[in-house]
Amino acid sequence: MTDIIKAIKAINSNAEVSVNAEDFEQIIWHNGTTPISKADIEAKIAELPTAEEEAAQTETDRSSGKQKLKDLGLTDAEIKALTGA
Amino acid sequence: MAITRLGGANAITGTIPQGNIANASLGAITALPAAIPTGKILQVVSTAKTDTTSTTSSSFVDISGMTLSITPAATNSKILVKVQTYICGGSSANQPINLLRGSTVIGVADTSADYTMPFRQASDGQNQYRFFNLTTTFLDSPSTTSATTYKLQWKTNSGTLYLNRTVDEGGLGSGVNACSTITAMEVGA
Repeated sequence: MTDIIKAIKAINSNAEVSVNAEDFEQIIWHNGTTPISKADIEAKIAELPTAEEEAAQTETDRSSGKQKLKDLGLTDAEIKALTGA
Repeated sequence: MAITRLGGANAITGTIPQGNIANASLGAITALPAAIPTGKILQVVSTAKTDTTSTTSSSFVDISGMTLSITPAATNSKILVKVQTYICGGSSANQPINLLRGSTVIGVADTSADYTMPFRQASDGQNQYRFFNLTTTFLDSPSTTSATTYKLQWKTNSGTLYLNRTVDEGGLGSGVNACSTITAMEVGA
């Protein structure tokens, strides 16, 4: 499941908000931000990729990026120096 | 023979055998000579935040759970405050944390910024995967015997700021979180 604040930012990228303990009852809206309903946030959470999906995508991107650098002629040592991995 | 000498000036000098000292008699002692140093840490109060919290606020707001209250025993006591935080911002923006006594920011440099812990990440594309350990230790002089609150506040000029977790959990793995703490120790004068 994605986290609440990511879903809020996906709905309103300018939202100023604090979320504690991933709890809908502990959302504090700041600086005049119009509150978003729990139902809307939950709906957006369902749309967004889960943390596990994001993790899998991150790994895919890492492997893909490394291969593309190799295809450009970089050595493993050079890639490690650039990316740290 | 434990008593080694009888003298007119001191009457009795020497060493009292350990077994002859009764706890009951020691318990009757109510004060020590001023020259004998005594313990200086009078009390310790600590809060550990074991869950996560996050903000997108552009103005300083409280970090939920990173607060404590201590009531000094004496007005001339000092309070040693230690803070340990694990944060992740994920963007190369100004994302400072402040330590406050009540509503007063403390532990700041002599500049107009007034940030206890200034923070800005590098723009290397890996920000969102890294924990940053921001710490501070400050010896405060609240000069009161009233309950005194120490707390943390934070803000972000861009992006979301997380405590105890990274922005993108893909780097460490989902659920790999940290624990942040704030501790106050009353140091007797």
